[in-house]
Amino acid sequence: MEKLKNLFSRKKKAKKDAKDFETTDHQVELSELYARFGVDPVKGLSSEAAAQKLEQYGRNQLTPPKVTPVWLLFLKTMFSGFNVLLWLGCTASCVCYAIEYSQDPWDAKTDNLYLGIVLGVVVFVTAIFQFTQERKSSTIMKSFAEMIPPKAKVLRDGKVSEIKAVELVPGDIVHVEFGDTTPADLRIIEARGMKVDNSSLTGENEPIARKPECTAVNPMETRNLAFFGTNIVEGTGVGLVILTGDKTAMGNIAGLTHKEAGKAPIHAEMHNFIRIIGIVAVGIGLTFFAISLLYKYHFLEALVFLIGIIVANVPEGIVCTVTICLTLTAVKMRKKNCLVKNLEAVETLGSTSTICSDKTGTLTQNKMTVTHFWFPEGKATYCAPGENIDPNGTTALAALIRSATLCSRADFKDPENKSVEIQKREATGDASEIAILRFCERTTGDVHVMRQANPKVAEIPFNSANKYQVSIHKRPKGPFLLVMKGAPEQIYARCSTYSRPGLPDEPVSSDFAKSFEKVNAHLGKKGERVLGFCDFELDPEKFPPDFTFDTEVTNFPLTGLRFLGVISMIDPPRPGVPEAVKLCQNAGIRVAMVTGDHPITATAIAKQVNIIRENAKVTLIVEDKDRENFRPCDGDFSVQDEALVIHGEQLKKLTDKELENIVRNHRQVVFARTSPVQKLIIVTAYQSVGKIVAVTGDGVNDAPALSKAHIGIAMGITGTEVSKSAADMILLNDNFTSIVTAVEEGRLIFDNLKKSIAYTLTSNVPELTPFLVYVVFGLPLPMSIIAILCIDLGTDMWPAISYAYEVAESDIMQRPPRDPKYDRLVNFRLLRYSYLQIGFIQGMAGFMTYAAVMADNGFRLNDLYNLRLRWEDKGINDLTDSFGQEWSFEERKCLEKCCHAAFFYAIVVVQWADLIASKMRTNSIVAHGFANKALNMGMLSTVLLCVFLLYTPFVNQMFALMPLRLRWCLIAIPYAFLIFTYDEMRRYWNRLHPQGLVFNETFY
Amino acid sequence: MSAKKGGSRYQPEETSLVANGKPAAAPVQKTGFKHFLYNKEEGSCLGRTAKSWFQILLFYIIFYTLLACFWLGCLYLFLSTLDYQLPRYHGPGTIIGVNPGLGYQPWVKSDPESTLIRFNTKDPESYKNYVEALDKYLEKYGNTTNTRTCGPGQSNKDVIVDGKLDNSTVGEACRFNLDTFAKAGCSKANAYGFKDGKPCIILSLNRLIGWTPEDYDGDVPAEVAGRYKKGSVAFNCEGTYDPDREYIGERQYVPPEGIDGRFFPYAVMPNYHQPIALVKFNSLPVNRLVQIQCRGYAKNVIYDIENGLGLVNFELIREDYPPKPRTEE
Repeated sequence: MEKLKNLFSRKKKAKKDAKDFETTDHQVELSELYARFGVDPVKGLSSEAAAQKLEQYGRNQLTPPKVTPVWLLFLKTMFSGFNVLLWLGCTASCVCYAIEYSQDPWDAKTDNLYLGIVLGVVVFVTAIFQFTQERKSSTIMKSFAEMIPPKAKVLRDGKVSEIKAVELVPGDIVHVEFGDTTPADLRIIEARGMKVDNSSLTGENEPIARKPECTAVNPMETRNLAFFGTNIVEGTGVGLVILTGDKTAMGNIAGLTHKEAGKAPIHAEMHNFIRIIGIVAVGIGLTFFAISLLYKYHFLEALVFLIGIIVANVPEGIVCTVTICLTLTAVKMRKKNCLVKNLEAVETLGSTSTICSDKTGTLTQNKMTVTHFWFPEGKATYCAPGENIDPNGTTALAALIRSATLCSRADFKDPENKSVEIQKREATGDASEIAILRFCERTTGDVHVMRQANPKVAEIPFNSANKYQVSIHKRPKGPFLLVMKGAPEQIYARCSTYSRPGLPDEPVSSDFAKSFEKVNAHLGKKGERVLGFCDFELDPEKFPPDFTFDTEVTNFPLTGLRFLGVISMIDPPRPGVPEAVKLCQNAGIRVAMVTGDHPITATAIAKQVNIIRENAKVTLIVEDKDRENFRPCDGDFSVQDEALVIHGEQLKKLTDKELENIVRNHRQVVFARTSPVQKLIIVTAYQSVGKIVAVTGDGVNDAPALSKAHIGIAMGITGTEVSKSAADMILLNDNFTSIVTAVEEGRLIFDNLKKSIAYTLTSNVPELTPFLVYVVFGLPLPMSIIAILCIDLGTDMWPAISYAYEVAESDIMQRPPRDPKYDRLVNFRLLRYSYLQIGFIQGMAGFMTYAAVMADNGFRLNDLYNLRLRWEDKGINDLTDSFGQEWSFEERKCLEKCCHAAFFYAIVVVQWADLIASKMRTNSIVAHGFANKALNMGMLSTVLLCVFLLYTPFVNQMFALMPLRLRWCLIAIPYAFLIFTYDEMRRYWNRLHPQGLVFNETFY
Repeated sequence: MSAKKGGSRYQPEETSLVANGKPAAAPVQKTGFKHFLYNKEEGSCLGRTAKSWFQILLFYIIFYTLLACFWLGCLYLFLSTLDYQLPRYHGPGTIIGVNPGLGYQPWVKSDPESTLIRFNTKDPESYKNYVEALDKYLEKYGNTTNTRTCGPGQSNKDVIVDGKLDNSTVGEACRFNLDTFAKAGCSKANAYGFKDGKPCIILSLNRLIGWTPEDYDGDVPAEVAGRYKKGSVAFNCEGTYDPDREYIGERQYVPPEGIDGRFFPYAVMPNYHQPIALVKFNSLPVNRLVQIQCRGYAKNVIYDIENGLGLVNFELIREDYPPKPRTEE
């Protein structure tokens, strides 16, 4: 067990050189395997041996990843970002109080203790909020675990018994049947019509036959292995357990799938933002700490200044604001069918520069549909789904449809129910048979009429050896009819004549051969699966109505048949996807296809959905020689337009440099036949050249890539649980088109967060400057820390959040994704603009109001200079003002409160103007308008909250504020107009002179 | 670059708002901090070239100059609404209100936070500061320009209308005379009583524009009964806590009735003589801290211990031991 754990953790460490699932157990002889595991093929393992092996190999289950305890995560939130600074302030306040208390218990200022407690509460509450909002569900392993069957029938001690699947060990012989989930990686010993659905591993959901023979070196392709967690859809079988638990193919994928926290670009942006603000706060704080010590302030006083400066500099509410903004956008996206699991992922799609999309089910409908049919001397005809084809139009077509209808094992699950659209009716059978069934149903109206009229008397089902399917039908009149379908070459080889529309049959000629080959190649090139059809009327002489057909020895002819035509089908693109891809490309996002499917099919679909443009030169890298001939463009941009199709095998052989070149320079790339690990490598390659990568996928095989990508997008309907839990976002309607809306929302929220931050940061200056003048010029404190908190966590909150609803200023889908290295959420330009320009004006408004309150009460500005010491001296009960009146200590404190209230109010007023100004980064308010109702309400809320804080008795006492006179309320208003006018002028100037000096200095 | 890309159907890079208005393809240079400080190739210092620095400085100089003008303009407008004789908000309903606080002297600038008066009768150095502070405080009473002698029936009311000096009158404040204090042994000559261990403490009412004492309607509070005179403000000092009351000893009020009402109300005037009264502690205990609270008494001096109105607190220690030999300093 311990060993296994080590192995697991080593796998995690060595993630970069992740290995594909490898085993050779399918190539060795069964007898050798029996010997290796010490198992008797008849009796199975003995209970003792099994117990001992269980000890050795561990339980047959996937090891869940280490989960960080919740309390540790919470502590992390508590002590990250700004919270560190606030804790610093909190501790410093308490230390101040403690020192004062120890010196003189009676005279200690409780203000400091109060402040310390308030700061502590602020951090605690915001941390709890942030934590609950961001807590992600780490349920990947859980969903992997859900794939394990609870029970397994195992042969032990000569008896078949049912045991818990987790107790299986290598060497066990298990019996499985249809409906079961494979309990471990099995080497098939016996199979009776056994078919498995490997879609959970490979993403391609088509039942594949299992049999004891080894058919391929690649373990994923050989027929004699059944994998842990896959479903058995048909037949029964017996298998030898070769691998269990984490060592299985599924375990390999699970091991590659683990979430990395903080991979979202917005996370890095917030980190950067917090760092910048932190540097500014601590820088200014320490500078003034030093200055105040130089001014011979007491150490404790200097410490109080430090707290003030830090608290003023830290936008306490911003983290909450960002979280709420992201949540609101997540809600918006949810309405547009994008369920965002991880809050930070909301923005990620906005900065995404590359989308690696899975093909099946995401770009396509995951539903085989007939697209073309051809009959001799006809043109290959396209048939759009829903289009009705007249089967009586030509006899050749009628025969083709008849053959297709009869020679089929597929049927609708509920044949009577015709109310449902044909495309949506559920059917049983192989994907291509269902496609043909639907095609026939649409053409003939009801396949059962023909089937009942021509009952089947014999049948050879399709198998991979002869590659055809044949059935013989008894017709109401006339001889037996033999109908056959299969690989077109096979069918063609068996025909001696071909039917012609309205004409007698014609023997096969070389001309005919040419046209057939042309059509076959043409359709094949389109990536379509082509099936040929032929029929033959059996000679009624040789085959009288009571003839018994023997399918084992084939007592009927299988050559010399009549060729009818071909039907081709493909899994077609979802409607809307080609347009969506184009929209992405217009938005500067590269869309690469990463699929497990054939290069040809992949290329065909890629062309249809615009991943490869119609006229692009396509370079296939499928064979070794293709790769050797391939020269990736190196700085030559003309080859950017060249499309590449890369086979998984060749991808393995590409050097890192070549791969880097491809992902950096080529805009149209299709990766075909890729394994889960290769998907991972592709994603990593894109990431290493600085791309922000989104990955879409639905299978378990996609999980590692989904979790590795900056944003993993899973499919809500067809997606497996594993893929959903590994993803950050789920498309509820499985439609690629929804991604475009999500990109738009992501980009919008990034712009809006910028605005929100610009708005919030601005008020830092009027919050900070009071402390600076207090320290340097000795004015009585114009603004209290409590009032700062009232702004940061009170009046600024709603407006800042309401930016989430702001509409876009221009067509955000016409510009390229942001460059994560250059377009930061917060840069120094934004800081300069907010702090040095708008913030400065706000500060002036605050100080003007302060000066007015003081002067109106008797202290003129010039008399305030250096008054601080006497002002705060409790011993002075008779401080003289400019008019010779004398103020007691308590009266002075009351006046100070009034100043705090006035300053607070002034900031609220100028923030109002800032709120309107920050709505736009380029446009004028006239063009932009006031459509954002939340923001309009926010302006009202600010006023109401401000009035509430200032004028409600007890409340204003609690916050150390005072009611204001109307006269003082008017003073800040000109500054609000100044801000508004200045910003309008600035934007006007910027529109006139983009890239000009002012633009470069002020456009954030 | 665009020529080479010609024919491409999607060329997002060409749109105007590319990456915040910067060319998206701007090569990301590897720049160290040294490079940031001074970049030889670009000739830039701290990320800006000389030209850029000049432009940006010019921008901010103009910006701030304009803002300063705006601010000063606002200030000028505001100041023009002010009356230099009378603060806009004074008297009833304002922050300063109508309830005067009390002040005391000597208050020593070098030890601002302290309300402790500690002196050693045997060491003149120990009370030098207090004497100097009192000297300085009383100095202004020596200047009698723009003052007049107010007889009975005369007061500052005669020259003040609506809180302002009435320029139609002589416009002189009532002169305050210190003679009574000297007679009571509180003068510079005997170091305001500190020398004898009987310190004189000045008590004053805070100047409030428009405030004049009002007479008690009925009973005069017991503390000042007998001393109180109508139209004036009497003072009484008592130990703050019980032990203090025990030790405080005899207090002499100079003059006994306190401050005479004729010096009220206060207004902005050339040489206002603030009326004061003295309390002389005649029998202070030796080497013991006494906490003292003094109150003013008139109908409109409200005593509010919560907000510290109508009272003043200070502490006295009278020491009595030979001065330690002082080292240089």
